[in-house]
Amino acid sequence: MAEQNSILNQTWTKVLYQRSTYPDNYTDPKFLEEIKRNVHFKPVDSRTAVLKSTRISTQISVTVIFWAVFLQLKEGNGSWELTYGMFSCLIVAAYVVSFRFNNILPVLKNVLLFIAVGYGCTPVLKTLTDTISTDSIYAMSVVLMLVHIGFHQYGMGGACVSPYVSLNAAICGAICLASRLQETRHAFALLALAVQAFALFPELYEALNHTPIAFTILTAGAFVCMVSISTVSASLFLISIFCVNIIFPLCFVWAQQYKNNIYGPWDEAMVFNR
Amino acid sequence: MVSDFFYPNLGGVESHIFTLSQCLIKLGHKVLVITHSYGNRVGVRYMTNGLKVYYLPLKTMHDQVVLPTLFASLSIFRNIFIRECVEIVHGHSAFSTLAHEGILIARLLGLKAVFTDHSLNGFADVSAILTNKLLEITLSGINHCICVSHTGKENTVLRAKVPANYVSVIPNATDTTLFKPDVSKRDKNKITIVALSRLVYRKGIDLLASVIPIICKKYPKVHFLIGGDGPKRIVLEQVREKEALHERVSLLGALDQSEVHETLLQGHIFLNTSLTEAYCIAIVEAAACGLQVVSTKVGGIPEVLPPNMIRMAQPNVNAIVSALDDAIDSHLKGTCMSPSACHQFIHRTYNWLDIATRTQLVYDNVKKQPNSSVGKLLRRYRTCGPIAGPFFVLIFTICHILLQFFEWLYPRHLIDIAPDYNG
Repeated sequence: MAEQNSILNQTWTKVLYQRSTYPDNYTDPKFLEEIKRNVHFKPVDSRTAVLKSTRISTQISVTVIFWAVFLQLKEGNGSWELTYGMFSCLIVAAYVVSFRFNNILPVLKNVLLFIAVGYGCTPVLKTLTDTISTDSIYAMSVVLMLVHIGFHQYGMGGACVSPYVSLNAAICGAICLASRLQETRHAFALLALAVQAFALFPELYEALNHTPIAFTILTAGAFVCMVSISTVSASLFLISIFCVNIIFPLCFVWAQQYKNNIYGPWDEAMVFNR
Repeated sequence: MVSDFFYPNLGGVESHIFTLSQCLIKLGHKVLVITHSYGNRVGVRYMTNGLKVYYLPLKTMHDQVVLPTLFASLSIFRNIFIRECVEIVHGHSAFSTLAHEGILIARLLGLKAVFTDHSLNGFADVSAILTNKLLEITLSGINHCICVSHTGKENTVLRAKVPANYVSVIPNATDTTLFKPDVSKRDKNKITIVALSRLVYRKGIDLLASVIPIICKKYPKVHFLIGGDGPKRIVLEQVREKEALHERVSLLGALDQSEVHETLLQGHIFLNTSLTEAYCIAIVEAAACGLQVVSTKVGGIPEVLPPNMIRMAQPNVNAIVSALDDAIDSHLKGTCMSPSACHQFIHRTYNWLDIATRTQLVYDNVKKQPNSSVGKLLRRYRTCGPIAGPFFVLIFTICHILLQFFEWLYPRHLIDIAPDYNG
């Protein structure tokens, strides 16, 4: 038994219970009227993008300095003490300036404990990778350092941000490299540098509010180190910093024009707890 | 009709396919359903009025849909389409991979294809992007598309980039001979609020759990009947324990289709707290049984019932509570629409024969469309995107070559035509 809905409207309304004389596939001019695009979008300008990307460049510079110290240690020329000394003094000075220790005793205790245990364990760590060939070690360290840079916490959430993975990868890479050094004290020095550069430095950088000054000092330092190794490495370093700091942020800013987040009545409602 | 979702699975899409098929058979058409096997239920089965159902022995993956290989089901689909002299293939539900496969194979064989989209989907996450791309591929070769609400049409047009005049809006209907009001079944001393749905996050069970204690405190006569099961059942049980509302909140568990009507008859008010809904058949069934409806204002729900039959609220606890206040107040004062008037309205507006006639109109239009050659079809698929386009054109070319191979191996004139049940 079918009772046709004989009352048909002359005008079209966006309802299902009232049929109109228009056919079922009629599209009203008000179609897609309620669509909203890019509601929560705040565009980033070039200056902010370039400035914020110095955080990534700083991390790259720190890793490069670490690698340079390792190379200098390996080759056995005396300049590693200079680089290492400068870096450590910088870190310590910056720490003292920013944290202004009231109670210096527990901190000193921690440092002494670290030195004692670390120096004691270094022979064990050195022999950990004895059976692995040097080329594999270098390849693994490169990958681990890239993982460290890739997963580092740069101030935003995301699928590939994990400070734990980042730190672990860096320390693992440092241990890999330290095992290829001849003398125990060199290995310990490298490990101490690794802890300073990858564990302490990010906190310090955070406390300093990511100043561009740190970026300039570290990048200049890394560049000088690279120059002392070879011109190829120095130019590669410069190119990568240029890309990361200038080209990629500008590409990002250019790509923002294609952002197309669509919102409308079909979206699942967001429930906020009262 | 091709879909993953059919009997013995029970749900909205399943009952839609079954009832639509029955109505089309009554209008004189030959209808058959193709779905995947459910456990031991494999092969050919006949349902009411000679509805032939093919349960294909295809492997299912998670969520009860088949693994979309396209090549595995090629020969069996071809065989079925030729045996049964199929002219139009109608796929249901964007989540059904079998429907996509059926439509794609049908188009390569030169048959006409129609697709019905029953749900709304987002755009933001990775799974949505992939599903929308697949839908775009399928719908770029389609002859016509049907959506169950105007919001659904907007959503489908945006997702799959279909031209808007290729999409018709034909709502779902309900069997009003089954869903009749019966005031004698209601308890006169209580105000019963019924909520029937799967207990999952999408259906707003968290909202429901927050609303129950507030309403129970405010109105001592109110009693809640909650049917359905799911992972969020524990939330409702916790609320019941915490507020000691054991006598006032009944959790009925998963209900059979037959029990749904019985439960609805006991209620005065129906509460729906979904967070997203293309077209809510539950509120139509409730209105057909004469209940007042209170619902969240999401998706296609504003289009379904007129304002005097439904009270809508924004999806937050305060708004729902105030809408329920209105509904309870109106019930106590007797100013709400009478159950028989509600039933009559639903009977006039959402009846299956009307829906089937409108669907038949779509089929007639589709039949009038000219046949397009495989080359033209592949050119349409090519426009789907710089990577997806050529990739799928390659896949479909291989399918086409395989179909020609099957044409040589099992020629068309040697395939027996299946006898008609009714003929």
